Amino acid sequence: MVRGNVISVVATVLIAIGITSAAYIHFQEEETTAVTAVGAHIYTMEDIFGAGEEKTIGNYTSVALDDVFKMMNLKNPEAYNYTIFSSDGNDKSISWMNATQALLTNDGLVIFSDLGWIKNVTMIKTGNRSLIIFDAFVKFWNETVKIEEENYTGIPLDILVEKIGIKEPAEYTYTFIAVDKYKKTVRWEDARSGIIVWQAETKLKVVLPDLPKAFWVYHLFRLEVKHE
Amino acid sequence: MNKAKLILGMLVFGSIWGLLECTLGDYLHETNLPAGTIMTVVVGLGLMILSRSIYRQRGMQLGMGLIAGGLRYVNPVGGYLLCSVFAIAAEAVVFELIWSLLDINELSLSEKIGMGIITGYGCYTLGYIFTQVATPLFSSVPFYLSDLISILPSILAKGLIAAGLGVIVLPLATSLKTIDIYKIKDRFYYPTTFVVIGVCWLVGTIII
Repeated sequence: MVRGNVISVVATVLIAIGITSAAYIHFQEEETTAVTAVGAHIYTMEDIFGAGEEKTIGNYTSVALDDVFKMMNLKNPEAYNYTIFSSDGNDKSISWMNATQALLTNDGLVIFSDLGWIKNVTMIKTGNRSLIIFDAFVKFWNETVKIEEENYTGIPLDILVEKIGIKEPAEYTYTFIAVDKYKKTVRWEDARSGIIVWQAETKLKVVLPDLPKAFWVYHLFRLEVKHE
Repeated sequence: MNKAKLILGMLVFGSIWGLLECTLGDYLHETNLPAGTIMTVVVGLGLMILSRSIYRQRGMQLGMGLIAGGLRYVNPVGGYLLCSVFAIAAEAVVFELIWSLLDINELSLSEKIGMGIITGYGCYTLGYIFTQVATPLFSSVPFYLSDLISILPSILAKGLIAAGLGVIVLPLATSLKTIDIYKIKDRFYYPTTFVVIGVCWLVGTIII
């Protein structure tokens, strides 16, 4: 009888802990930005589409490009010129005025009302600030790395870090965060040979060949770069 | 209990567990199913409960975990799998701790359901936490406490699925206990166990 009661109480407490944790995760406030220590803002397409207002140009309705620029948190965004980088090398410099008449689609296409379009957009830069469209970067970058007899196509971390503008990568730690908050922090020496890939099943995934698979974060949602 | 029979039983169950980790575990990890929970509760816990109810020997399941972890470690497919080895070993340790004072065969159905929750939840969450701490320590990567704290709610929440599976697996595994180990003749027991162990290690280390 006593044994049965103790078992019931312990089982109930564990269920309560599980339910409380699930509720905590469910009601946790969603963060929307991942700002690195080097003035680069890294977003996923989902972040961008959640933050901007919709605009229509011709047959396309999508997020307004000036709203995307505002995500770089500049004091007077109208005063700057911006360079839009494409993975195929067709980069274009535009003014704020041009941006007010343009939109960004979720397949990485920037459409202007009067300047044509840029496809496979991965990054926007102005001065020493940059906005990385993380998943676009990975999707449109087609570098292949062979790890354990398997080919992974995406963007190698050393290239991503260079594009973000990090000059001394060894001075930073790199935290990979998954959609379910699974989180792994690694040093540059462990991350440098890694690659971020896009796969249908795991979405964004970081592959770190020098580390156990527990460090390979699936459903990657954010990369935080912090000074050690 | 004859010690040789017990050790061979431990090797049989541990080898089957290890082989399933190398085959079914790898397959499940490639799908969207909760691979860790299924392997921990349905396979690991199921085999530990079944062996405990057949052999009624404390400590045997810890040995099974070490054997399964060993087979997982030497399996050539899947690369660097230290984390899986830690998870298997930790699960066996937690099982032994939880069942150190109880006899599975003496429990009522309601007690088995309660213990299914406790064992499923305990093995999954504590095994997961131990793996997160041990893997960095044994692979020369710094351990960041903030990483563990941030995923703790997720681990504790996912333990609910393990607890739910435990409710089914524990009564089911104890009901499968139809073999009376004392009645099996030695001339059947020893060759059969040797064959099962040999096949598991052959398949797990060479063929797969």
